[in-house]
Amino acid sequence: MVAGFCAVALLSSVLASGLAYVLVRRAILQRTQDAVLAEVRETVARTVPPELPPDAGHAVAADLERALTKQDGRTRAYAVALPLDREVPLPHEVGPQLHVPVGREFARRAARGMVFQRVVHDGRPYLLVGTHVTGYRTTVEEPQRTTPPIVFVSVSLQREEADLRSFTRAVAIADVMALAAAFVLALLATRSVLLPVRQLGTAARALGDGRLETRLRVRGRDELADLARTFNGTAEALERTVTELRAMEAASRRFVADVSHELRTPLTAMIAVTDVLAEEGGASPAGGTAARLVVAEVRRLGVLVENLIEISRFDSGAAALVPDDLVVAEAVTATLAARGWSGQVPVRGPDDLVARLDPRRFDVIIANLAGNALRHGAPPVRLDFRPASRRDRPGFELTITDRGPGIPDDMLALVFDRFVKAEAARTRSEGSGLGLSIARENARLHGGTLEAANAAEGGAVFTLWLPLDRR
Amino acid sequence: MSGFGDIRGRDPDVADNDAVATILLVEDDPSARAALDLALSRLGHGVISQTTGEEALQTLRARRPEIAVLDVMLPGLDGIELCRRIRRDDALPVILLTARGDDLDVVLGLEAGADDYVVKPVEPRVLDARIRAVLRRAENTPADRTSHGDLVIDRAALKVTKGGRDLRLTPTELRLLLELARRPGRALTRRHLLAAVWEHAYPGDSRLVDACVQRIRAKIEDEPSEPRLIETVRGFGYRFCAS
Amino acid sequence: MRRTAAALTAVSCALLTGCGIRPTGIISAGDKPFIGSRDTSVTVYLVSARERLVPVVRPGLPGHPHHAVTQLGVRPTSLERHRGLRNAVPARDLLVRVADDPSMLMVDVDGKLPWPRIARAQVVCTAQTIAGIRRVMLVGLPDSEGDNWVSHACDEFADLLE
Repeated sequence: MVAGFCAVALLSSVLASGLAYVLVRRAILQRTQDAVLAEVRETVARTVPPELPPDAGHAVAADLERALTKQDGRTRAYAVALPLDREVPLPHEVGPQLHVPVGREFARRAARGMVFQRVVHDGRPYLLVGTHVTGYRTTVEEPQRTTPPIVFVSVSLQREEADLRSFTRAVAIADVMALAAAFVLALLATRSVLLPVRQLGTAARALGDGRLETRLRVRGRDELADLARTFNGTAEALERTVTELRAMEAASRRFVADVSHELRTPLTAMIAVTDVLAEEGGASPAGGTAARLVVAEVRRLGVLVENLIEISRFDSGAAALVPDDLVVAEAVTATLAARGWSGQVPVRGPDDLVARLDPRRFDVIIANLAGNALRHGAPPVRLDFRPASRRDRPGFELTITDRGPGIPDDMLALVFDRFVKAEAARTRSEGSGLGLSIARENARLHGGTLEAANAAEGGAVFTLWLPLDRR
Repeated sequence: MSGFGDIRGRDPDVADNDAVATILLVEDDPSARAALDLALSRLGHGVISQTTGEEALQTLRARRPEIAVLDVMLPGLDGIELCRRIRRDDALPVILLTARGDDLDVVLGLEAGADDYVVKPVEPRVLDARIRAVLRRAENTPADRTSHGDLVIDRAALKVTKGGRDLRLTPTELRLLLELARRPGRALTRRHLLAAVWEHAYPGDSRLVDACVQRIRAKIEDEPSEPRLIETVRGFGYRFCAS
Repeated sequence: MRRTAAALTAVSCALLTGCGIRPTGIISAGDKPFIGSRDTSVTVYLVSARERLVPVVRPGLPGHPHHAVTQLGVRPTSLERHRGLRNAVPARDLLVRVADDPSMLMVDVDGKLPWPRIARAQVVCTAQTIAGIRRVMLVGLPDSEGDNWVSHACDEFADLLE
């Protein structure tokens, strides 16, 4: 936009100055020509008598040359008796008499009337004027002796050329200044257009980044103001919708949390008597089966409810860390041992790595990852950890790998979503479908990350990174 | 708080079936109360069930239970306040049944002097194990008598005196003090103390240790805010200093 | 934008190459100048067939007050010749100058050629027709006594006048 302004300004100033140049050149040359022609005409008319004495041509010629030649050398003159029977004798050499050579044709035409010509000689411009006079008397028998001489005058146009040069320079300077002025004006003008556009862009980006309260100040009544108003309307509608959606989502989450809490009390009663049911429900084989089923499902329900409550605590931001200094190797080993998995999952990592973690939450992460690998992957399941800094933050990386079929590509992005199960056929699962979500939430609570991928050699790889010290 | 997530903590071994205790169970929900009563009775305990805190306080005066299991959410006098009242003039061990998920109940309960807590819904065997662990704290200590300045710990009599004055410590507090005093000058981790005193399976809740240490300090230190007998080893655990 | 810049460059180049003063062809500036000066005349003494001085009138030459003397260096015109007049002055170039005394005209002549008396009379009398001139000195033409600085007046040649 600025460049366009400047281009237009440059174009117009160049055109204007070009035009001015042509006009000025014509004016300057015209003035000089007119002045020279008038002077020559006047001088010749004054100097040549109406009737010449016999053989006085050279004296008149000398008079003419004297009258027309200027001391500064700018104007030189050459006058010679006009021969009636042959060509006009022209100066042999350029210099002492005239600045430029005179052509035959010029001399011929000068004998018939007043003529001039602009000539460039040796790179310098000159004006050449040639003329004879009229209105003289001569004798019939000896016209040769009383014919006035023919006159040639050459005028150097260097002064005019210098004037033109300085004019050109002035015009060029003016053009440059006009361009600079145009640039400044263009900047000012485009600011008033570009600034709102830029603000609109910034606001749109802010809106895209989720700052829905972003609004633009509406100024003026032009199209940009309209656009800003439209933007504000859209942002408002969007904010309203998103707020409503968020409120609805929060309400539904709160509902899930409330339901889970309410389920706890009946579950307490049910779980408390599961053992009784398991031991004494077996009055008949069918009763035993029923009792076992109820016991198993009640325990599953208990896990599900606890997981739902845990997730809803993350959702409501109520989840808090209770950090302690943990020897990672010991913590991992204890977690595996507590579930009876020590023999199935070999652990490799430095014994002396200490991290500040919430033991319970770290236990949940490891237990969920290891449990997931044992259930869905194929052995051998391996757990490795090593110190690893991320973005200059000291931490450690823990990977749990299995040699199973891995995670289908379309599931990789969803594996941490709630109630996502890797195998469609596995409708009946030991897990609640929340385990990996909870593991990831726990990792985030620590300021860490949890990612899933497939190993090149097959099998799933879950990579946990946690900082050594939570800031 | 054992076992959120898909995988639950392995139940601690059920032991000492012969050991029975009289338990004061306070729970307002009739079904839960009846079910817990049934489950604990089957595990060999004598259970006194009560619905409200006020009732429970009256029962305490009439009968002498060996341990109280209190639901936190009670109408009127709630479980935490009840615990505080009990602790005011009694060393009776208290286990809280926390129903809500937030940690505030746990923190408040431990401040009020609870010895341990379990989260509802709870497996009867887990609750039984905790009860037994609490009760064991009053037993099986090697008989000797050590003095640290004006603090005298009499393991045989399970008594602690400071400047000749008897200090009333709960079994949990006494057990933790003994565990610390057994190896004076050596720093013990919270994990270690949790396992040794509370018999919790990994991971346990180290806040139990912190809260208990605070309570002991309040009783044995000259200036609890500047403890000299039980030192905090930052980022690690605690150390008993035998002056 | 790019196209505009290119166009601008082209225009600038065209203008720059058209700069300066360019030559032209032969241009007519109108008719010849018409003589504006007025007629003047001078008197010149020629020699008649009877060897007498005869005054003739010839056109003057403005700015050349002693032109009359200079005219004695040229051949008589055809009209004068038809009247039987001739010019006895042998020199072609007569250099005329004014002496310190403005009434004295000095004429430098080439003394190697023979100057008859009538030729001297022609110069002296012609010079004396010019306003303000009383005497004439023929430099480079000594008299019979060898004096080079002798001035003459037309009266001396009264015998030759008609």
